[in-house]
Order: sequence, then structure tokens, then C-alpha cells
Amino acid sequence: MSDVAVGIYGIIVLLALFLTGLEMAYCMILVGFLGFTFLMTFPAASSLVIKDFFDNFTTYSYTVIPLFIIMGEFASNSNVAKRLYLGAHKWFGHIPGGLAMTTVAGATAFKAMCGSTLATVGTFSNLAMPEMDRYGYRKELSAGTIASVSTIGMILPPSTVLIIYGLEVEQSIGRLFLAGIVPALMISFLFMVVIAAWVMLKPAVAPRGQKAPWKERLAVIPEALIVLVIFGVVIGGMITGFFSPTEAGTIGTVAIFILALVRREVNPRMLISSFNGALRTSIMVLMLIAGSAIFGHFLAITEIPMIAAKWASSLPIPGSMIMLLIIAIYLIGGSIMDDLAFMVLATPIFFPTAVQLGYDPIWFGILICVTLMIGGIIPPVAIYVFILGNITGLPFKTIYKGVVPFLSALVLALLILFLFPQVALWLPNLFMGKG
Amino acid sequence: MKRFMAGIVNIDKSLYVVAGIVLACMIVLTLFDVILRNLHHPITGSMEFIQYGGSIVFGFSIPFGTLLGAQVIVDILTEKLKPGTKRTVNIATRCIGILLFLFIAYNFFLYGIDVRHSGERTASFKIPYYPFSFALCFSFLLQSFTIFRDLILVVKGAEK
Repeated sequence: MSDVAVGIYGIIVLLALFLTGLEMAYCMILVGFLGFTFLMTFPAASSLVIKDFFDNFTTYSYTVIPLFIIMGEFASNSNVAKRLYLGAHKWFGHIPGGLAMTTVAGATAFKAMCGSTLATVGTFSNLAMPEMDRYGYRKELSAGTIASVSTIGMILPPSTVLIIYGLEVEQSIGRLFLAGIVPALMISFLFMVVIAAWVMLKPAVAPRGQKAPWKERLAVIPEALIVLVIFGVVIGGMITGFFSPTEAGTIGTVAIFILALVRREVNPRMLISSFNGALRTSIMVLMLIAGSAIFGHFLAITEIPMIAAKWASSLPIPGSMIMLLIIAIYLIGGSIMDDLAFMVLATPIFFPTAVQLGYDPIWFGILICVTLMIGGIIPPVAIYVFILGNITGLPFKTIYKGVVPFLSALVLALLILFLFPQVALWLPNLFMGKG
Repeated sequence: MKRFMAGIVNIDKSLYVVAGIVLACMIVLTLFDVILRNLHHPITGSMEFIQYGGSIVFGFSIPFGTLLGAQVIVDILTEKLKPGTKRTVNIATRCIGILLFLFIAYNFFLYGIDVRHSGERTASFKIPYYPFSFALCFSFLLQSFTIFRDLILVVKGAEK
């Protein structure tokens, strides 16, 4: 049997094992180990497993993961989100669909401090949903808004997904963070357009709220400025080379901690919850990365990624068609399993093809993240819909119904990014030069 | 058996607390390093501490993280299975997990002995590598016990 055939069988066995409910990381370790044993030797495969675990667990650059995650945990467990939401409420609350727009603006601002997308859906389900209920918003609109806007954290810095992509394909995290800003803001804007259009067509879905006086509106500006300053210091420090990503995560964590301390929001419960959340998410991510490294080494000796890249670039069809196919695979993968896990698994396979076709690795990262954003809210495994449903008790059908209009915004954003890579690349090229 | 089950949870939790403390130390150390570096007095070897501190944070979080459900699974098929079939599949996957982590722990033990003999050390502080290897070995061994605990629960009929 050729090495390529072994690799293909390996991928098939891996996908079959996923369906048994065995943890994804264990599946990748197991198949990677067995495949490596089959092609090399048992001692070489044993040594590979240990070496990959040891290297992944003792790599300085991976320490960025818990540090950015704990930054987001501190932001989630203090009242930052609530203040941002109430602040946005003052500005947008009175316009038709204003509370839904407030949710979009508040969640986008919150994402600038919190790298976890799941934390956003949890936080805003508890925060924005009751408020929209109070004003008589239709459940489809409120639930659709929260589920959709929670996905923005996948590309808005400090996105954990972008950090992991950067570490996996050895791209600058600073460049990736900069590349995510414009598309994230564009998607936020498109979400607001969707809300405005929805309310214009069916005014009953979102009754108008009260108008806040200018004095109250101006009073909330400092809160937004604090977020901007922390965001600016963390991202600016990274792109100027003043901090390493690990240090940037630490500075952001300490800044939010001090902010919470000054506001007397720090207590043992908040600290325990933040550290608990950070450790739990970090180890989930690290186990996936370690599993992916072992499986990736097995695939590397089969040479499947390289052969696939060469084959794809020699096909008599335009590169853009191949990219569309890759996007479709990510879309399907992201909709049947956890988006992050699928990215960790699939990127080493498809990244060489994208590079071989001459596409920018940073652009490719943003493109697949937007694809996974779509995957996160479409069935069968729409993780954001599930969490929102569990917290609010709303039927999934209602949430899916609400998500549909926002999907059109995400698909449009994906199309714009696909046709105009500069939307993502303009900012990193401006601040860090051409990569 | 009850004491064994409770003991596993307690040890898992203790390691998790250690991981949290090390993470807090990493934050403080990195912060002071950034400040002192700008005052031209960087902390020598801080990167090394962060790097190997990371191995403790990650390694020691695995067992209790597993108890908290910090693993990604695809359950679209298993959720649709009949309870009996689902239980059988669960038992099979738990057994695979136990064997896998026993194997990893054993190999980490061998690796620890290997690096102890070779005398490999870190670059700045010359800390030997083997304690980290043995620490990870212990953590993976505990992980297999944690999955064994899970297996007992599945066999007894509790939901995974």
C-alpha cells in the first residue's frame, strides 16, 4: 500500500472515530500514532507522540493562549459587558431596532477585550435578551442578533481562533489581528443594516425605545474610551514589536484586572471563575493542537498535503474555484463539528494548497474564520444557537429562524472578502508593511 | 470504590489549583519583566520560566479539565443512538481513552528516565528537563484514572 493510500485511510478512520463520540483530540493522537507506526516503526511513533506533547506544552509561543483567554474571562466576569451594553443603549436605543443594534455595538466592543466567542453568547444572552423582551422585541430578532453577533469574536482581536491559526501556520499574530479588524467592523455594520431592513419591512418586530438625553449619552463615552485604550495598547504594543503576543495578553489581563479592581468588582468568586474558565478552555485548545500535531506529522510523511497542493495548482481550473471548494469544505466541517477543532484539523491539510495557489496566508486565515462563523450558526452543529437555546430556553427553531437574515450578511461579507482581499490586508500592510 | 472515585477528583482538583497558581505567577512575572525591561533591568530567564510554567499549566489542567468536560466531541450520531447502544459505545471509547493515556504516561516515564541520564537542561537556569517529563507522566496517568472513573460511572448507568 502506498503512503498516500495509508494517509487517505487514516483520514477516513479519523472521521469515523469522530462519530463514535471519542474526544477529537484522542482520535487525532490515536490515528496519528497508528498511522505513523504503520509507515515507520512502533518506537518511532511512540517517540513522536511524546515529543509532540512535550514540545507543544513547553513552547513559549503557546503560553499566549491562556493569557489571552484569561483576559477575556476577567472581562466576562466583571461588569465590562454590562456597561458597554448600557452605553450603546443610550446611543441606539431610541431608533427602530435600536436595542438589537445596541447588542451588535455592545458585543463588538466587548469582543475587543474578550477573545472567547462562547463567552460573548453567554454574556449577551443574559444581558440583552431580557432587555429586548422588556421592550417587546420579537424573539426571532433578539435571538438571531445575539447568536450571530457572538461569532464576530472569531475575527475581531484578540480572537483565540486567530491566535491558534497564527501559531499553527507560523504567521504573525499581530498581522492577523490587524487583518481581522476591518472585516469584523464591516460584518457588525452589515448586521446593523440587516436589523434596519428587517424592522423597516416588519416594524412590529422591534418597538421603538426611549430617547436618552445627550447628557446621558456623553456620560457613557469614557467607558468606550477605556476599551479603546486597552485594545490600542494590546494590539499597538504587538504590532510595534514592543510586546510579544504573550506579553500583550498579560498586559491586557492586568489592565482589565486593575479596571475591575478599581470598580470593586474583584472578589474570590470572580477570580476562581476566571481562572477556572481560562484553564478549561486552554487545555481544550492545547489538547487539540497536540493531537493535530501528531496527526499532522503522520500526514506529513504520507506527503498528502504537499501532493494535494501540487495537484490543486496543476488543475486546469482557476485557483478561485479551488478556494471556493476549500471554503465549502470548511463550511461543512464547521457546521458538523466544533469550528475551532475543525480549523485545527483541516488547516495543515489545506494551508499548503492555498499558499501554492499564491493566496496570502493572512487573507486565507480571515477567510476561513468568516466561513467558520457561518458554520457556527447553521445546523446541524450550530454551537452558538445551542448555547443561546440552553440559556434562554428558546426553541432552536425560533433561533434558527432569527439567524437566517444575518446569514445573508455573513455570506455577503465572505463574498466581499473573497473578491477584495484588500479589505483584510489593507490594515496590516499599512502598519506592518507588506508581508 | 467510593474512596477511589473521590480521591481521583481530589487529586485532579489539587493539580488544577497548582496550574492556576502557576498561571497567576506567569502573569505577574511577565508584567514585571515588561516593566523592568523598560527600566533596562530585564528579569533573566523569565521566558524560560514562562515556557516551562506553561507545561505545568497545560499538563496539570488535563485531568480536572476532563472532569469539567473540556474536550471537544462530535455527538451528532451518538446522541441519536438507543440508550443501550450509546452506553456500549461510551464504554468502548472510555476504554480506548484509558489505554491511550496509560500508554502516553508510560512513554513519558521512559522519556523522563532518558533525559535524566542524558542530563539535558534548560538554557538559562540549567534546570533539568526530567522533572517536567515526570510531572507530565503523572498528569497523564491521572488522566487515565479520571477516564476510568468516567467508565465506572457509565457502567453503573450514569450519563457520561
